[in-house]
Amino acid sequence: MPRILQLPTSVITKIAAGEVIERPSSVVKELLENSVDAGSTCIDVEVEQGGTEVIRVVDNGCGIHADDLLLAFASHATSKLSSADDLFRIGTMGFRGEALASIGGVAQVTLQSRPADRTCGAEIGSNGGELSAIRPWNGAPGTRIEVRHLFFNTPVRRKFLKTMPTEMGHVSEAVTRLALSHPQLQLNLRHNGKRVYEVPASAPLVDRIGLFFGADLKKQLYELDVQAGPLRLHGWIADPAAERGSAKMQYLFVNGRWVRDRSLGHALQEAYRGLLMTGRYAVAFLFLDLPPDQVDVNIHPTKSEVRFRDSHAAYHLVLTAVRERLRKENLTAQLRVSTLGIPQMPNGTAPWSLSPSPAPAPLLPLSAPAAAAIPGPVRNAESAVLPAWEQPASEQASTDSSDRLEMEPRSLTEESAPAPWISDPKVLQLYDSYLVVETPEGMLVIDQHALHERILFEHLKQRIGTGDLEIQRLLIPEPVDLSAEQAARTLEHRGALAELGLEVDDFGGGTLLLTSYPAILGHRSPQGILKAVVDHLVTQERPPTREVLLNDLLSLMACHAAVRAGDRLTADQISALVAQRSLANDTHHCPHGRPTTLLFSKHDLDRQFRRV
Amino acid sequence: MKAHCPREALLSACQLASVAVPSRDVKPVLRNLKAIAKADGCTLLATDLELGVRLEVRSIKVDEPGEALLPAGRLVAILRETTDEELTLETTNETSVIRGAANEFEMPGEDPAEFPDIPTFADDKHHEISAGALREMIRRTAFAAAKESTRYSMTGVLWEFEDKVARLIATDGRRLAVASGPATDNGGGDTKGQTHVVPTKSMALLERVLQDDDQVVRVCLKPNEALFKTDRATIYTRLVEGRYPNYKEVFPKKTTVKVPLTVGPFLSAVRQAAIMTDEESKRVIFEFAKKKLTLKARGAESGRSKVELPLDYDGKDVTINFDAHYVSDMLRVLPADAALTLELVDGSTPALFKHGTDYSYVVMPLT
Repeated sequence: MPRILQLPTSVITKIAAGEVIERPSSVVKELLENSVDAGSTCIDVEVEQGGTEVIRVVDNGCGIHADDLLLAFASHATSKLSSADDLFRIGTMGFRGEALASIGGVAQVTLQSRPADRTCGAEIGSNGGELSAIRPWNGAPGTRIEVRHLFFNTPVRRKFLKTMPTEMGHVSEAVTRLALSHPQLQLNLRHNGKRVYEVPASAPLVDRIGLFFGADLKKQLYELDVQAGPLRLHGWIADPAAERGSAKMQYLFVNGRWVRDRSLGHALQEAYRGLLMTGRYAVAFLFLDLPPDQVDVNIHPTKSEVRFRDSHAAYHLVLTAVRERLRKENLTAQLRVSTLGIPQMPNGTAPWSLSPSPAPAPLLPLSAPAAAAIPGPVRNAESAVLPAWEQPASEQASTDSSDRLEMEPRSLTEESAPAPWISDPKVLQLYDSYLVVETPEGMLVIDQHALHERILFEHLKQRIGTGDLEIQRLLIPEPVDLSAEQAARTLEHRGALAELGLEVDDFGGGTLLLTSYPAILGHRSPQGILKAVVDHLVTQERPPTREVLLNDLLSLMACHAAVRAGDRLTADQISALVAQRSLANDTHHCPHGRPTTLLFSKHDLDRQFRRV
Repeated sequence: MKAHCPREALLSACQLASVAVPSRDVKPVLRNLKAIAKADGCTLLATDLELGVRLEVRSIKVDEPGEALLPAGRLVAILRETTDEELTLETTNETSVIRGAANEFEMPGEDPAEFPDIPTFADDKHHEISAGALREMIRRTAFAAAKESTRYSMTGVLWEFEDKVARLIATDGRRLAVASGPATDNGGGDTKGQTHVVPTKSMALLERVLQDDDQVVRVCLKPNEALFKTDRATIYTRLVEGRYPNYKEVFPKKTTVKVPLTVGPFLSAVRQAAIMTDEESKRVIFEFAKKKLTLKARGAESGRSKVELPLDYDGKDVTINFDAHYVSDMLRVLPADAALTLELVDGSTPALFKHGTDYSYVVMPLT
């Protein structure tokens, strides 16, 4: 029978550290939070080798008194909490007094600090938990912590670390979260001596979002600020057109702390229901503020989960606030649909731009000659449509349309199966761009390009889903010139690209050598394909998954292969297109999320003409 | 000028010259053919400034020498649609008139002096190749050049002369063809260290003017242009600029597998197997085993195919996949009874097809 033994302290600290410190980004998160709690206004983070070698956090906060330095590395020692009751009124980021103890237990840490009112600071070192003597240190007011050789005494943990770019991705994610939740803070992040982010203190939240996630996303944001009792929800939500392939771009902060909450995440997705295709996720940066006693943050070692006293109220607030806000935006779009019939994107992007998401848009000029054809006829079609349609705008119609809104395109999106076609539908092509079809429900206006694109996209996706990807190797590698940053970024994602059939080698000086490409894209130049993907990589906040990349490439292909606005279709082509509509899974949006079809119900027409 | 032209002969000459007429009217005067009539015959000129051709049409009987510009498209149409044995061409500065027994076509004339001059073949240092050999070399390489590429040099065919051997090289980055043949050096010298890439359009025109096998073609390569001269025709072309990839490096260094093949049956098997490929799955699987080659293809919607071909092969089993086009493109330009060897290392490195000593074709597999 095994006997019970008290574990030695060294093991205890390692176990405790294991919960809090999982990877370099955990260290960064904990140290940043300490700096924030110390009232810093400027924090410099410097990491080397994705944080596995060195993490250095320098702040200008209140510092630590020399006499407290020994306690700083002790477990359950903190300045942020004194009694158990405080646990329910937590106003600081940390409170458990574990972070430094944990970090000190698994790394070689040097802590140097000087309170602003002291003439001299002090430093202390921790080598895997063994503290060095306190020595005087003469530095600027604030605290400087250097963490070297993380997990040097826990080789197993070290082995479980991912590649340098991945770990660095986590580190910048930790910095991103903190920068978003503390808009008054100046934050600098450097990696291997190179600047990654420099966030000035003056940048408000929306600028920070632009900084981290691209200016295009910034343009697609709607501000939100709703108070409900003690709860306040504010922040920015993105237009449905900015949808992503994963929920990673849904940032939720509770009392300034980034958390993961399945229930609130669900509420957000629910609010976007009908506006996103299945499998796509909304983008949002939401801040939920509530009295500290309404939320328990002490349930997860890294505090990334919280428990609400009234979780239903929080759920309800997110759902209704976001939905209401979206409805406000969509209101105008839908009104115009019902009165003017302009299939206008809510965010005002050019209706025919390749994609409303930031990534593929810049591709146009790079892609095969087909792409060059787009702007010409497209613009014409657009300008031909708009003036003609804008005339009949009637104020009267727009005032009494509130009850009609629900019957607009959304009613169509909620139908799982397309309307059954009457045996010989009457079809009319307008402006060589739109098809008008008579159905039992009403008049259907179809964007021929968007619908065809969607059908082709589904088709291609299905094929790829079933078979493996064929890769054509190049006999003579194709040199592709990129900016140094793009090249570095691309090389980081070599693995993911290879999975897509794009194998790249470094040629030096921003030039990459492309040695293979997916055969299915054979009619496009391999260089064009790679550049398309690179543009995608550079604008993305993190490495896109194979699925997302593939999706993007497929939609690009579909876009080029589809009939264009301005193409005159024969009667046969029209009926074939309309008939295929039922074959695609999700025909009401093109792969970029633009609507393909708008329904003007017969009832609606009758009402407009005062027949009912 | 005034001339009596045998219709058929003039038609084929005009069609040939029209290859050099630009399809877009950058410069309207270039849409014409220029006819220069002298006592002993007529020369037709056409150019798009990149490529120019002078064609002699000897069977024309010239009554009155002179020069004229004739719109290429209309002229070809007239010659094609009429049925007369012989047509009369009469031009003044104002009009050009073509007359048959029961028809007459009048076109406004243009000033022949406006037509840009096309360089003639000066008795320069040059190389000589027999027309038959050159035509075969062009046929075996030009198809492999890139249709469009960001590396422009690959859209043409590289010419090399070395030790009385002429060599043509073409690649699109996925496959590469090298054909060589005997040449006589008339002071042209080795082209080592120089790059002469002739655009594929010029190569196509050159191939078309090489009709008589025993004729000698004179080739003069200059830094930015090239001239080719046969008995009847002179072709001038500008060269494609840019560095050509070092093609010698793509040849597999050491191959471990050698498979003897015969073009006809092999091509037939490849084409059969390729029936079941489609846009999304172009792969044909080549399984080499003792005494047998099995080809397989499977399309996403089309279905699958399996074709077996007996082989005179005793080596180890090897499987390699190709885009069937890259293989059949090459097989198509070889005679059906020609012997071919396929040299391989494995399924992921370049494969080398060899026909005799003067034709090699390297192709990269699909994986």
